Amino acid sequence: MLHPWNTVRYGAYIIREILVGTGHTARFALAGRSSGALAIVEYQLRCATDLEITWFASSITITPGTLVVGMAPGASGSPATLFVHSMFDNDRDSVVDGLREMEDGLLRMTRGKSADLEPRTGGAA
Amino acid sequence: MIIALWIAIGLLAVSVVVGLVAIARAVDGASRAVVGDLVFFCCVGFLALIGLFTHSAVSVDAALLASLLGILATFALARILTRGRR
Amino acid sequence: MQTLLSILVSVFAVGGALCVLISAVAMLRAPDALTRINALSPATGLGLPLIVTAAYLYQLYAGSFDWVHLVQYVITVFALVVVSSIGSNALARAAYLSGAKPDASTDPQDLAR
Repeated sequence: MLHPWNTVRYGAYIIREILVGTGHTARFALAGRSSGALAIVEYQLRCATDLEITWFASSITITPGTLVVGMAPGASGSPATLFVHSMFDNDRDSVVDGLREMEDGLLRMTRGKSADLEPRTGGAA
Repeated sequence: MIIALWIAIGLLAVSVVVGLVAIARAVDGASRAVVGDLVFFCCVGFLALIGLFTHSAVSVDAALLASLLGILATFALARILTRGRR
Repeated sequence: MQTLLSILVSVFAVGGALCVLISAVAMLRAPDALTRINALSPATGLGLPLIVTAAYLYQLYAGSFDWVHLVQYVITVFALVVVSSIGSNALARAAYLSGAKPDASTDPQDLAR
C-alpha cells in the first residue's frame, strides 16, 4: 500500500514546509499585516479515496500559511474541490502550484509510480 | 538546562497572556474559540515541562491524553459557533 | 552523551515555546478569524512537538531507555499534528458558516457566492 521510500520523502517535505511556513509566520508576527496577503482559492482535487483526501486536508492545514476552509463534492463527472485559505500568498497560480506539488508527493506515497498523476476525467469520484 | 526550562515556561506564560489580550480584543466568536485552542495547547506545554521538574511520569501520559482528546473541545466550540447545525 | 542530551533538551524546549509565542503574536495581529485559525499551525505543528520531544529526551537524560515511553512519544507527536489539524478544519468551516466574514483584503475569494 504505502510506499516506504516515498512516505519518508513526503514526511521530509512536510517537515520542510512547516519550517518554512513558521518562518513566514514569524515575519508576519513581527512586521504585522503588511507581510500578509490573504486569499481563498478553490482547488480541484485529484485525490480520489477518503483516506487520500483526509491526508491531504490535514497536510494543508498543518502547514502554516494554508488552511482548508471547506470542501465541495463534485457534481457528476467533475472532481471534488477544496477551498484553501492562504495567508502569505494571494497569487492564485502560485498557491495552486504549491498545493499541486504537495498532492504529487502524497499520491506518490499512496499510489506508487508517478504515472497515475493525470487529473481524472469522468466519474471517478 | 534548568534555566532553559524556566525560560521556556516563561515564554509559554507570555503567550497565554498575549492570547488573553487577543480574546479581549476579538469581535467574533470564532476568534475567541481559536485563541482558546491556543491557550489549551499552552497548558499542555506547561504540563509537559513542569513534569520534568517533579520527575513524574504522569505528565507524559497527561500530554498524550490531552493531545488525543483536545479535539473534543474544538469540535464542541465549532458546534456552538454554528448553533448546532453541522 | 549527558551534555549533548541536556543541550538538546534546552534548545528544543526554548525553540518550541518560541514557536507558540510566534503563533500567539500572529493571532493578536491577524485581521480576521480565518487568519487566526491559520496562525495556530506553527504552535501545533512545530511548537508542541518540540516541547514534547524535549520532555522525552529529558526522560532519556534522567533515567534509561524504555520502549513504552518511545511509543507514547510517537503517538503524542502524531496526535498533535493530525488531530489538531482536523480540529482546525472543522473550526474554520464553522467560523465561515457562522458568518465571520473574511477580511476585505482577501483577494481571490472563491467562496463568495
